[in-house]
Amino acid sequence: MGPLTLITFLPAAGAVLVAFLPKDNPRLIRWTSLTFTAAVLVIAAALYPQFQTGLPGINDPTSFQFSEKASWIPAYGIHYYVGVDGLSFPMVLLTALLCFLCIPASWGISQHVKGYHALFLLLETGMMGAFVSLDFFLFYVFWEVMLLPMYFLIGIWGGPRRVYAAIKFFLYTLLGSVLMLIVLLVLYFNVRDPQTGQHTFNMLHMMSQANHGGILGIHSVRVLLFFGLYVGFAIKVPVFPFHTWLPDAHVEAPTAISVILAGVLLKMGTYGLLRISYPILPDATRQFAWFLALMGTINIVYGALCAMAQKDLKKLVAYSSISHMGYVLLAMSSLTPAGMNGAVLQMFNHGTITAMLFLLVGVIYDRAHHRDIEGFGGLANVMPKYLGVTAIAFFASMGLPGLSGFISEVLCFIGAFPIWQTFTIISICGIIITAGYLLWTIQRIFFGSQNPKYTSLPDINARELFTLIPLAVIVILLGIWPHPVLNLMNTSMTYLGRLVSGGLL
Amino acid sequence: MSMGGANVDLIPLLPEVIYAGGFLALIVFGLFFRKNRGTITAVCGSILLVVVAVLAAISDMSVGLYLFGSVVQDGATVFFRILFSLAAMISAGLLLFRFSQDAEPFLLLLASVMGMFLLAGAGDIVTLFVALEVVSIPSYVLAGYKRNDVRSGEAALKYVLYGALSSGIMLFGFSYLYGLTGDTSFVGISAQLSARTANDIAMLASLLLVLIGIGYKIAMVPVHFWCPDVYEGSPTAVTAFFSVAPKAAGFAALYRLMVVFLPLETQHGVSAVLLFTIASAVTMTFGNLGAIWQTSLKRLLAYSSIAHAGYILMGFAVLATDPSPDLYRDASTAIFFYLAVYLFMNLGAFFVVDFVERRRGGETFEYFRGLGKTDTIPALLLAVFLFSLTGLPPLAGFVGKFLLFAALVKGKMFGLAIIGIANTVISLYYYVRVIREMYLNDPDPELGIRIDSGVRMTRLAAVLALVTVVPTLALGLWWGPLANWINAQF
Repeated sequence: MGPLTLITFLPAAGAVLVAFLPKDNPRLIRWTSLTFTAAVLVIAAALYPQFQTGLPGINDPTSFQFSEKASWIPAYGIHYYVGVDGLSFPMVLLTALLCFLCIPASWGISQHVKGYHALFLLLETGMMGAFVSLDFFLFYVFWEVMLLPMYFLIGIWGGPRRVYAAIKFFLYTLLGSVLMLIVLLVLYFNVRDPQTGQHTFNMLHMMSQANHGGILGIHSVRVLLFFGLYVGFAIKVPVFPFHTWLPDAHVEAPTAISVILAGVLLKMGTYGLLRISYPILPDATRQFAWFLALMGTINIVYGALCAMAQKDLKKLVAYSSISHMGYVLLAMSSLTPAGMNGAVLQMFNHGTITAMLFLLVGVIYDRAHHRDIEGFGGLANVMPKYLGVTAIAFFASMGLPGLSGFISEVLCFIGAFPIWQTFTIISICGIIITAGYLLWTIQRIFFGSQNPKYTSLPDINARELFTLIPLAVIVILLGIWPHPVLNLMNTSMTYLGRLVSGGLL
Repeated sequence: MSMGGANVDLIPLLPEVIYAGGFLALIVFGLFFRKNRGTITAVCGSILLVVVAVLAAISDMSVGLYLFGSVVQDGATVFFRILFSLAAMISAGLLLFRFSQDAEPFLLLLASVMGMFLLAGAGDIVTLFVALEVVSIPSYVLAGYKRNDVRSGEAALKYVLYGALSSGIMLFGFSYLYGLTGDTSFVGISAQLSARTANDIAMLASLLLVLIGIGYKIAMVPVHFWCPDVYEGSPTAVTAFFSVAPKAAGFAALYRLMVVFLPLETQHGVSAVLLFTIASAVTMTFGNLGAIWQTSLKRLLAYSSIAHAGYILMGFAVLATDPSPDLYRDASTAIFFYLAVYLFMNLGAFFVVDFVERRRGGETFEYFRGLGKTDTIPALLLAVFLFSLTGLPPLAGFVGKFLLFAALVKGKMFGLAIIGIANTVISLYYYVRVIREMYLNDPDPELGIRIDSGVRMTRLAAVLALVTVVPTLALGLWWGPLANWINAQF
């Protein structure tokens, strides 16, 4: 059993174990799930030094690392095929890290502790599996496996409108994934394994244009497939106008689940575009790169404007996620090395920054039991440590130099500008709006006249700091020295950009 | 294939002959007991069914037509014999919870299965019609078995009236077919119809009548009205049986009849493909939309079973294109695999509904409120079955849908595939409504639900739960062997 199988199925094993633990011992359950997520993080971290940054991966089976392949359903050409390259490995690290930190962040969950942790661990298996899969069928199964736990985690442990938010999330994402199923089948029946001549779900075979036959030779079919996949992934990102599930889901979800939702699940969308749409349908990607850039720009500006209008702190952070995922779309549509690297780095950085933001919202909500931005004021004197950590997260989100958000945003714009001048200039206005709403929010919460109700709020405690400090360290470190993460992806993303733009033909 | 069919060998009917003999013996045998006649009949009947299923599986019978073409022997016959045996055994187990003292429900069920066995191998319209009636008549009695319950009586009456009407319509269609072709065997009718050129309206009319007749049996829209009422009124264990076995029998009949539909091609562009595409699209859409508004689990599952008939009809739409042997095999595999998976997940869902009905006194939504907290295992089981019915991986229902969609995509029928997909999303909504009641809502003490603590997970219940849930899980992850086995039957 290889390390990738281990990190994928270890959480599922943990979920089964948790299900058999006694219900009346929540401490044991929490520590068990902490142990399992920690084990996954340790294994993922141990892979880091072994990861060879010079290998591109993407469509080259020999340069995928830690790969494992076994036949699953031979009659249909379905394999258990996993492996990582510079695109998926940063996502695997991000998932392992955030899942581990989310367990202490869920310490306060006291209702049905067992069910919560079992579902959470199952969710981790789904996410890991989706990131490491190289067989489209396997990818689809993991993709859908993520839905079920998420539905229950929002629906049972969420806020007052949890039932509505959970079903909305479920219906939206299922719609996207069943569309993907049809595209998956069309690809399957028109791609052949060059060695056996059998139809195949192997993504790498699908990427080789020489294996395409049948109706894949028709241009309009390829465009339809591209948009079929696009809708499936855009719902996940979420791209305007498919974004309406996100604010509802975020506002109702418990803190840790918001962290996972924004930190990992949203990345699934852009990851899917880069892993599947880009290399399998490069011609359609080139043709509609402008469309991705346009949607990215809309996301940036629209998300930022919506964020500014919010009264609920969590909703504000949710809309800021929509805005920040727009950078990823804009950058990846450029296909330039800087843009491609910027996109994946932004995915990683947004994962850590937004995780901090949601954790911080959770901290204040646990104390004040509301998230109304106008309802605070003058908290700087009451919770100075909280202000310190919040400042790091907000400034990173804003793209202040010296923090990780800056590097990836700059890379995104540097990459996008030569190709899409107008879109980039409009998008940069989004930064100004972002700075506006974040600073305004800090001002309203921490400064101004002190709300007499909250003079005795306890400052951030050790457990909360435990979840926030590692993220803050990463945010600062990557802001000064981004290479530990950038080096992972550079070869792969530059290669993918050239592959899609036709530079390798 | 021996086209003459003048083979009068009874060997291919051996399972049916043994079954009929055993069944008659069982009627007499049951009379010697005073107590537990139901249990004894169920156990002996199950043994009989196992014998038939094993005989069907292992005997090396040559493919072909027998008894002057009235009996077909092929892989589909084998498959359906095993499927019906399984459905009957699990349904008999469900019936035991209520009728452990009466032999009659079990004998009626076994009689109905006799007709299904015959149907599986029907090669001409006479055998098909007689077999369908043998399936139906015991079912009418079963529907009304709760003699003192008005709704059960209503269900039986509706079932009889609609059933008689549908049989009549079908027979009318058959009479036209015989008049047009002068033949009764499917192969003969098909050959004669293919040779026809003029007057295709008569052909269209006769085939439409036949399709409507069969459509009643499988609850196809627009001839599905009886279904929710009959399902709601019948004893729940009987409903479980209805939702799976006679329905699969209807599909077996349709599968045999496909060869007759293929020549349909009128000058107005009405073809078999069009007919089945519309039937499939309309059936699943109406089934799913109807299910949204239901507040009774039995009615909800009735509409869901209409929707599932629509999904299975997608496979028939592919068969109606007269596809290449390769695609024919894929589409048939998809249909058969779906029927097998549907058997386990639907019987499983009804098992839980029946359990809750016996334990808490009802099967409308409020009886399921907070079930996840009070009855963990039944709630978990029902969640698994409902998600499988939705078609979410890694459950068996997903694989069934996957194979059906694969056949559609391979046959380039994208329009129907898109409709199927939209329906999957709609269906999630109402299945999740049940999940929501069980897990997201808390038990409501004001409802005054009195729990009958005598009803618990007995050994029989545990066996039934395992028999249905294990295939639902296992066939989702490891479906290669079953798909290959089915594929090898063609």
